[in-house]
Amino acid sequence: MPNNVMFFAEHTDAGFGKSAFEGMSEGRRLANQLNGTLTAVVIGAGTQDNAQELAQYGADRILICDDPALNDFDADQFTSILVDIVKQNTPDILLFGTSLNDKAVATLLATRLDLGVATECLKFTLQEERLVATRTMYGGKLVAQVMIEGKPQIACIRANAFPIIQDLRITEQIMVEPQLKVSKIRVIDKKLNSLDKVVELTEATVIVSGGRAMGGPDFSLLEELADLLGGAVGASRVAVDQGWRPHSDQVGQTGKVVSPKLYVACGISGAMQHLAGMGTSECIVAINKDNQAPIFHYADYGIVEDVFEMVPAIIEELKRQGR
Amino acid sequence: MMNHELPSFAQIVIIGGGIVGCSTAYHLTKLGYTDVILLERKELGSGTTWAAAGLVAQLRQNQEMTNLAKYATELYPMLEAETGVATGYIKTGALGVCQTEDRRREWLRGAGYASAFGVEMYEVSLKEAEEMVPGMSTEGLVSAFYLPNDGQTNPLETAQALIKGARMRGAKVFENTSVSGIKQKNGAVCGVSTEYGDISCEYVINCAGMWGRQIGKMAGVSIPLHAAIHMHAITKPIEGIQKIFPCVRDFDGRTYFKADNGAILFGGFEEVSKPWGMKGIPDNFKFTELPEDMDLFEVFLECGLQRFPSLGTAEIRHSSYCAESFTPDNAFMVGEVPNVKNLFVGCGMNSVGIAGAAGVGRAIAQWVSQGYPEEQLWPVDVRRFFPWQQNSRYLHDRVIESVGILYEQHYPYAQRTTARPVICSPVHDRLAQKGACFSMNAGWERADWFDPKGVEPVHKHSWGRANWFEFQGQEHMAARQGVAMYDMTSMHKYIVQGPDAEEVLQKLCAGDVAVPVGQIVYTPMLNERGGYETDFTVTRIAEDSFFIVTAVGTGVRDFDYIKRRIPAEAKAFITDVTHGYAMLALMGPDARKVLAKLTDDDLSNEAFPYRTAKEIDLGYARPWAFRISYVGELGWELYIPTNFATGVFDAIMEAGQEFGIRLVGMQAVNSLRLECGYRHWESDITPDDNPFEAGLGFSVNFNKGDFVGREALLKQKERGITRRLVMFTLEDSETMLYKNEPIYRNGKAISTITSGAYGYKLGCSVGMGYLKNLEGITNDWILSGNYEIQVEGKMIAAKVHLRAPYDSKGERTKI
Amino acid sequence: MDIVVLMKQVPDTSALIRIGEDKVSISTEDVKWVINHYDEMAVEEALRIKEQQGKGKVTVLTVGKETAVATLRTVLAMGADEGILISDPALEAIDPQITAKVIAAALKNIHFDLIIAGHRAVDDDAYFVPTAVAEYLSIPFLSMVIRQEIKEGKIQCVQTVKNGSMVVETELPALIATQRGLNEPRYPTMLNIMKAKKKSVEIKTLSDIGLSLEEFGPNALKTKITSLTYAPKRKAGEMIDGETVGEKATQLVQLLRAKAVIL
Repeated sequence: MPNNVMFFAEHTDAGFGKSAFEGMSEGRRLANQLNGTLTAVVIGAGTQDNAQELAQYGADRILICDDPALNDFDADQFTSILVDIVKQNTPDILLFGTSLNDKAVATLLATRLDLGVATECLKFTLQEERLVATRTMYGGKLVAQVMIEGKPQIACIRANAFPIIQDLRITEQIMVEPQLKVSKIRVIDKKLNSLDKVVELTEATVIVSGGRAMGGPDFSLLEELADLLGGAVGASRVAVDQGWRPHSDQVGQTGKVVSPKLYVACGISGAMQHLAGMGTSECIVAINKDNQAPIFHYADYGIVEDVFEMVPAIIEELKRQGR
Repeated sequence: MMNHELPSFAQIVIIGGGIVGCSTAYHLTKLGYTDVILLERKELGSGTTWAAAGLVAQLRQNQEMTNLAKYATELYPMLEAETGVATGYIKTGALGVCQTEDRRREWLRGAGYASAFGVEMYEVSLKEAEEMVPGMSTEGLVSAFYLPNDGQTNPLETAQALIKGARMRGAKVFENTSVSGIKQKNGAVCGVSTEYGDISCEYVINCAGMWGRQIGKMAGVSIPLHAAIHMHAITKPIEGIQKIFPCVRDFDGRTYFKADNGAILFGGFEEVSKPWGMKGIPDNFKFTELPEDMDLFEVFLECGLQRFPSLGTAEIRHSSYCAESFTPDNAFMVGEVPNVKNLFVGCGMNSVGIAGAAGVGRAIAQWVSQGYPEEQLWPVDVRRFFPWQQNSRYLHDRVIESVGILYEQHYPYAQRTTARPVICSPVHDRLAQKGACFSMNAGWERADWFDPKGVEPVHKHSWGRANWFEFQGQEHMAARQGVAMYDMTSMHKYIVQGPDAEEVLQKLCAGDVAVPVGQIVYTPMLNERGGYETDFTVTRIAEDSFFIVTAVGTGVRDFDYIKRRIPAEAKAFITDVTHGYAMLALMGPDARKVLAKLTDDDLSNEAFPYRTAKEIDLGYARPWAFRISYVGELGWELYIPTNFATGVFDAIMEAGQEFGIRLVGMQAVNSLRLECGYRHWESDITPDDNPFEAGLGFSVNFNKGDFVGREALLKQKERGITRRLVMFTLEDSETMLYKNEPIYRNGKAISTITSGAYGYKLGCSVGMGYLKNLEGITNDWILSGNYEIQVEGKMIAAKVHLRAPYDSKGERTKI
Repeated sequence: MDIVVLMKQVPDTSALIRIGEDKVSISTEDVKWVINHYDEMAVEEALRIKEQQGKGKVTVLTVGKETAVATLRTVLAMGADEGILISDPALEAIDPQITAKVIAAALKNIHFDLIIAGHRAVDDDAYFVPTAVAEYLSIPFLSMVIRQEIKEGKIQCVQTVKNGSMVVETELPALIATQRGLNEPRYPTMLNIMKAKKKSVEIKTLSDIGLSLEEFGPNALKTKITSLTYAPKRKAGEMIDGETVGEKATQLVQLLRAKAVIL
């Protein structure tokens, strides 16, 4: 029996996110090492058009459970379906993406199957064909190797940790009949932005973040810079506490933990709780008027300048170079 | 940023970037030293400075220490203009509140000497106190005292300002640079090793705070400090609390309250503290807070709720538990470390680091530059500590009590209770059996007084007559009228020997020590300014052997002082023989009669004159008998090789029975010596006082050749003195004198009492003090004044004496 | 209205984390422990509900070591009524899965209308316990709650989701998990700190809550840490110098392009 890897690919109105492809790529790599197959699982509504995309990232099979009733995410419902799929297909490894929905399903599934789960994994290795996950703990200060017990071994990946690798295959698409249930939770209202417009902080490859020095809710300068770089705008705890930016923008130990390629910290002093949220960024640029700010102790590039003078200069330079 | 291009040489290396290190750099560069580098293991202020409350109090136990503390209130406000870095210093004033009558008496005395030391402090009514600090309750309080010029500052910012000042003048700072070793050559420091390379240097200054002990070990020296947990809590702003109010100090409640922008920061000094860091300070300690401790917090919470009722509903924004270093006696450690040249220390700030840093930094800079601080600082001199005090368990047990000392009732003769006993003389148990109540001094257990019925030999303190008053009186009178014995084994004894011993000692002592064998010389040892580094007796016990006896407290200091000054080529060697000899002193008009029963040696005045010494038979032993007295009576100090002591003691006690021999303690020794005018180094004579000023000109011999201080003294003689140590007796028989009581001449405050005690023979308190007159001081001027001593706010008439009020001609010792 | 709050004690953000001698757990000596911030919000919300309703009890439950008692006291000082610590030598080996089972067992004999938890703990970021506890107790679970309202036996919550927020409703008893934005936790007042000394902190063992020791221990772990190392410390890089901001900007962009951080 070949060892099999299964990946739950979260599907939304905007199709699959970056982390789905990252997870598929890693799933493919592991499947190769195990001489096994990679199965993608898609649950939702209107997924069939996009599902084939997963074939580009190494899927041998794509299991699709599509039904209008599954248009809105419901952890209980989605997990029930996935439990059945897992029981029927008996994968050895089951991976998930980085979103909160991914985590909700992964953890509920693990509970129902009485299994372990490791979240926010940034690396996987195989030891005697068993998955060992690497993840950080204690606000990024320690790195842990974790052995996940049971079968399947369940893990969620961290954003930006795995490269996306194309691997076009001939894929089998299999439709799965959903066993629908009535949810105990009633949705009363939704206030949603189109997903197209959203660059989720945890998945962004570039983040421009503002802190105390921004002085107010006007982050337009940072938004312009983020736009030019194809990134998202974040905020420090101070900016959020002051009410300038929404909680969902906060980067830090009690906000979002991000690991973009580039993190530009504007007017952020860089206390430890902020570092805990962005310390694994590949490159950190710090702009701050105070040359004693702690952030300069760990930024890769530091500029001692007023944010409101420096950021426009960077924008101008980027525009000049034709972005 | 970390740029580890360490120089390979620097003139001065400062280890430790807390506020003390920063202040030291500031002051060294101010004196003109530019080749100064400061090495900080992590980040400036990340040890204790960052967590301090930032209170700056001026009043200390004597003039010099008060000047040191006052300096902070002058320097910190000026730093912003000088360096551009705001320190946040505010002159808030301070309000001390008294919950008991005894505390009020303590503070009344304090207000008295505060005034004499140049610090404004006065008693206020409870109503005035409430007006000064809206929101404070005076319920249950007896009184309050206001000091208008105390202040508070932001610790980290102040350290930043100081280091900026230093940098502006050329000092360099290297953070994230740990020192791993200190190099020495020929008894002097010559360099430090760090993880980034070695640095050769001339001077090393240990300002490493809690790490001070580890750093000391690198140089093989003892820096006896220990960390303990100190906490404070900050509330959110409270309605009705001013943004700025005088720092409230409730010593009885063990808590202080500081204004924090409409909120209150409060913390304190508990009676029983929690030592910390027993296994050493963790390597990655940096701005580290310690775990919460509700038991500790409760102490201050309770006082807080009493003192500021609105605290009840106030929210506690943050409670900070941090580690601070404390010393065995709760006073800092500053100065040049004994046994190693050019190694200085400024550590062990006992939670008053922010207030002390200004003066300590300045003192160290002076010490480096001219070899001594501008004003003598014996209370915080590192040489007051003994090598045995680096014992870890001792330090741990001492610090349990050290923390609370700051806020305890500061009674005269207040006792230490933890980490005892350490050193006991061979006759300790015998004394205990006879009802001794022991006091601890420099680790030694010494009988302080005796309760002959052996019922309650425990100190019960008082500002008036304590529970031992009568016993002390009986002991005192026994020495005056009969015969008394006391154990002074704790005196430090050295032997200086070698063919060049006489020459070396002649150079160091102001008295003539080129005397025949068996002659005792009482002599000062002066510094280049002619001031008293110490006074002691030097006795020639052999052709090239001299026996020196000095006080217990200065044991390390005096030894170090002499040792450093023995020229390298001289064949003279000093050995500490303190533990080799017990000393029993037999004093009183009947002393000769008692001794005569135990020896056949001729003890007559002709055969054994005053100030001579010889080995005699005594019982079955052969001790050295020194005919000298510190209590002004006929008697002998017997220096007995330790293991013979108990036999000698028993023999004397038996022989003394028929004369009603009385065992006497240190309290009586003090009142006896004061009554007959004997000075005590540190209280009455200091490195800033010369023999003429001290009225001890007779102990100096200008004709014997050159000695240290000779020139300065001759110049002084020419100029004439403007200060003179005299004695006072009170006209009232009840009031007690201890120390620091202001002396008034013709209604004007002129100085303070340096030491005082009850003169039982005279029937009143007796004290010493300096009178000063810039136009020159003469006997006439002294005697023509009208004197009063202020005690607890009351003016008591006093009589001045040029010589001792008892046996002014010193005849009783010579009978 | 009886509310149970699930709490975890975690090391303070600024605490020095040292790896213990066994290399698979941290040394707990001298660690400054604080309440997990999301759980602090849970306590605060519970207190607000109780104050609004004018009656009810707030019980805080935690699984951990004796050091957690101090954190429970802090929570009692905020105003909670009762604290329960489940502590047992058999829980030396613990993971989120075991924690959830223990909590569920402890709650079997405690009456609750609502359970409030933090959506994750900042020491291990497992996101596991609230989901699992709700599942074991067969009650609905609402996560990432930034506002709640209880009316007639139902709870209505605003949840943050990836691209906005949703308003959802379910019947009590339910479990909700907090997210930043729900509230600002109050600080304990001094009086409450004093009062808290009289409130009860119960310490229960596994057998006290009806669990058998055989089911626990290192073999019961579903996720096992096999090694712990220190994350590589970021070192300071370089400061970009220049006469004008323009110069600095040029340098920065050049450097970032050279490093392929931006294209």
